[in-house]
Amino acid sequence: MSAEMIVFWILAIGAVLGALAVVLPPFGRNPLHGALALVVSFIFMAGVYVQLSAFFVAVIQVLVYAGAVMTLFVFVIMLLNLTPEELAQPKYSWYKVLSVFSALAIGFIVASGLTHVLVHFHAASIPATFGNAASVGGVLVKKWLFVFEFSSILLLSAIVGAVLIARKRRS
Amino acid sequence: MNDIVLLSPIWLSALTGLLVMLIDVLAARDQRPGYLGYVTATGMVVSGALALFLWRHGAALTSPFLKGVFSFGPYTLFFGLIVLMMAAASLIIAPDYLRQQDADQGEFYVLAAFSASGMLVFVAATDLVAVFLGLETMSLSIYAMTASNPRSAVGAEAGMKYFVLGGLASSFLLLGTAFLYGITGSTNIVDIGNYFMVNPPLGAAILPSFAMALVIIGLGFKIAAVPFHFWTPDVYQGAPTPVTVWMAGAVKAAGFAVFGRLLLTMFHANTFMHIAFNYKLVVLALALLTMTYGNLVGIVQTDVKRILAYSSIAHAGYILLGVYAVGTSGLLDSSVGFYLLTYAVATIASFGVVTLMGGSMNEDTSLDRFAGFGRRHPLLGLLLTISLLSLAGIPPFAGFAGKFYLFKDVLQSNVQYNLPVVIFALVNFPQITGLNSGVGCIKRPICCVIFTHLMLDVTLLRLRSNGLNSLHLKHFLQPLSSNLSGNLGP
Amino acid sequence: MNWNIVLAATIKWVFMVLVFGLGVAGILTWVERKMSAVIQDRVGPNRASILGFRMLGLFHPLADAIKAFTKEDFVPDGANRVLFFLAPLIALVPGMLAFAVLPFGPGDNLVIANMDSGIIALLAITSFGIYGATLGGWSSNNAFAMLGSLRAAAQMISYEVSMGLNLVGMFMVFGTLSFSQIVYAQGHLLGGWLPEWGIVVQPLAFILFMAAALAENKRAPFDLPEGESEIIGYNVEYSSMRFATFFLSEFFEVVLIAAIVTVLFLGGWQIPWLDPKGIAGGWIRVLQVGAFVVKTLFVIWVMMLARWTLPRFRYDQVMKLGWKIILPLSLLNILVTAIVLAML
Repeated sequence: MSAEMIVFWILAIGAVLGALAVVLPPFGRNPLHGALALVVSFIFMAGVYVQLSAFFVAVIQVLVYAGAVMTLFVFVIMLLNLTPEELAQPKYSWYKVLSVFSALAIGFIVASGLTHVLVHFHAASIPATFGNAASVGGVLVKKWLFVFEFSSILLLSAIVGAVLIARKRRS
Repeated sequence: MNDIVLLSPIWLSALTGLLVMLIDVLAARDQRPGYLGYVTATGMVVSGALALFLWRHGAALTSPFLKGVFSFGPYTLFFGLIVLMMAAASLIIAPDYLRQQDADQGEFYVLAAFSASGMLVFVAATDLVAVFLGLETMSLSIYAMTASNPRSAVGAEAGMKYFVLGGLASSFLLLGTAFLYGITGSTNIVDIGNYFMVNPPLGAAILPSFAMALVIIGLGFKIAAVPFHFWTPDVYQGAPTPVTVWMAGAVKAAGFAVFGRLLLTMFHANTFMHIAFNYKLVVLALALLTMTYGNLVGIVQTDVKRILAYSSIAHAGYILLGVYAVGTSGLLDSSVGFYLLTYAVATIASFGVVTLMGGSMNEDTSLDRFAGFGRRHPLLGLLLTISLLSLAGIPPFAGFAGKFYLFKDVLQSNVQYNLPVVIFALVNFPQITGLNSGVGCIKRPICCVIFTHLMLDVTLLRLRSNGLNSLHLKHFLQPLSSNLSGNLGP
Repeated sequence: MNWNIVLAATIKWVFMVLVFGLGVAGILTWVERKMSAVIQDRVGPNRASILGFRMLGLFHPLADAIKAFTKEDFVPDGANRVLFFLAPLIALVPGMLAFAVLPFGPGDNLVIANMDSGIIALLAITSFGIYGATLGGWSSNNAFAMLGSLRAAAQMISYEVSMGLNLVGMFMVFGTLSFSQIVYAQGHLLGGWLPEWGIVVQPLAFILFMAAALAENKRAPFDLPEGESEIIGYNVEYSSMRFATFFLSEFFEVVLIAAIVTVLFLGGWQIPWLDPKGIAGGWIRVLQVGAFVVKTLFVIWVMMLARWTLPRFRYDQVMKLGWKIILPLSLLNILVTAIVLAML
């Protein structure tokens, strides 16, 4: 196994473990611990992106998801500051069995499909500029310019919607 | 330059939102922002006019810049026009209603304009990335609009429900997109379709089937097809009625436009014919389930908004039947477009009357409150009755023609089981949902029945004298559909 | 994987972070106290002595370190122990990692990771600092600490936006996201005499960035998250070495921000009007690294002056300044920059 593979397995296992810890006990019991586990998972995912030569995406992943979005999650969880009693989980064991079962089924489908793809996978050679800021930016403002600009409307409508719901009534 | 012209309906409606936002900020504080609704509606109408202009002259405009991301063929423009029409209608009825509810806020109209522009992107997109962006812009605004009445706990609950389930549905679509990209290396729907044409999925083809299922589930939420409909009655009932019109009309039309385009382009039937997981069969199952469930559960409802919600579920079933029967030529050549048009008009009218009444009824839209409605408001009562009858598919109203051509298309198409399916749909009491509320409205069942009979007789007379072709309302669409062949691609 | 590269990077990191960063941060604790004393017409720290030598109180940082190590390490009742232990480290480590992308001098040897999108990477790394402050307050099981950490989170999120936006103008002018290339670009002379430093081409961005960076650093006049003199902050339950770690991380960030400002706006290691050919051998390198250090120290001095001469904002003023003044001005700066660039 080459050094890159070792690094990949560390990153991949870390990302998966982090993602599992978000929902599974003991971390999943406490929303804040779950959120932090998600941050850890995001950081490992960023490492995987780096291995795929997508440096810019990796940095943005850390900046936006781990750094900004999850901070807001933590902020909200802290503001609510729910007690363990309020967080008491419903004891629908039937649902749990069902969800575990469907998760396993979907996992099986995805895994079998992916192994099928991997058998026929040929690594493509990528240009040296792949994944750096300039090439990502070039894609965004050339082919995807309108879509990129329109995403500002998406963000704006999210802001306006949040204001509409959250603000105090005008008298 | 061409791209700016082609995109003009989209950016104009987005610009309307920005303009309304500016007016709202700069206007006097104590002024009621109701007039902003009319400003926004005007923006929608102008966007619609631009879309019509593009329909006439847009074919000559080509833009390499937009190629593969957006298509502005007649398909896009037809559904875009439906969306804009529904949007303008909802906006015109909104201000009075919101004022009566003491919930009129300028932001509502800003969000409406953004939502409309998102729908146009959604409808025009031929790339899954743009599809997702349009879907999210459309939906995010509607979530907030649903919960916009600060005094309504039901509205807040409806908004939350719609938000959570809608987010879940979007993530399904996104996951499906990711899988399709992983399989084919492209997010362009034409490229994906071509890939599957050249490399037909063999054997179990588990990954393409899974991706297809994810896409169907994701869009099934938006069009309220049956296993994914759970949010519909609660959200339709809890939302302010203009928003309900928005969801039942514009969103559904946009959803079907994209549903049809994605399925027909990406999972071309021939490609998947030989594997167990055929999208046609899935759509058929969804259609039968949806129409049966919507009609049956609709019978026992006692709230007009809920009845209309179940009616809209049932209609989704019929439209899905049209999608099932559609051949390679695409949705617009089939009767689905026309069906959607009749459905949209009837929905605007029926919900519009409920909106007008709902405001003064303090948002209590139970069936009892409509007792004697026809006597108190004869004109509105007549309008409501006509639109409900049209929804039910009673001749001579447009809804009948819509259903008639839909069934005719299904019978004439060479899909499997076409005859039993149509018989099933016919015995599915499509009129029950409509009649139930119609009866409640007028509180004079006999009157209603006589009215219906009169209409039926007129229709039969005309049928006998002119033959079937005189009812061929498709003629109305003929000028629209003359240059439609192969319009699905970009 | 080439292990020599890893080794070289480790050595560089140890030198830059532990020697330069930590050393300066340690001395800063003394500088700050002495400076505040001078400004307030006091004597300042002068008690610690070794064999009677007081050295202007320079032994105080040493005494502080010994004190921090030997004091009782107190964990409040009901605290979330794991996060309580982790929080100071989370506050300290991002600042240390961030030094990896800063060029101390020309070439590839005087920077650890010469990244193509280094500035974004730096913003990404420093955005983790928020977790230290917020988790520290939350895990202490203390209402006042919790309020302090909420103030910290809101303030840092708000100013992070402006910080990033102020750099967009720099990206547009210099056309790169790389620290090294920005420093190289600042070596030009405009019109033959004016160095093309960031502060010259983006003066508004410089002022706004300094303000946002001060707020991001939680120092006066934005020290509401700590509010050590009266309102109680997120680190109220911390004692001994853990408190010292928080304390150190703050000074560490001062050094870091000063270094960032130097690199982006003050020409980094560039020495204007100096012809490199005139100086023999490696001495030019030494001079340039020296220039970087001197500029950094100057920025630190400015930040300390700001701290001891400005009164603290009220919290609503902090929010208003961030969202209603600095953010719109940053956007305006981007717009004007774009227009000017398009016309040129």
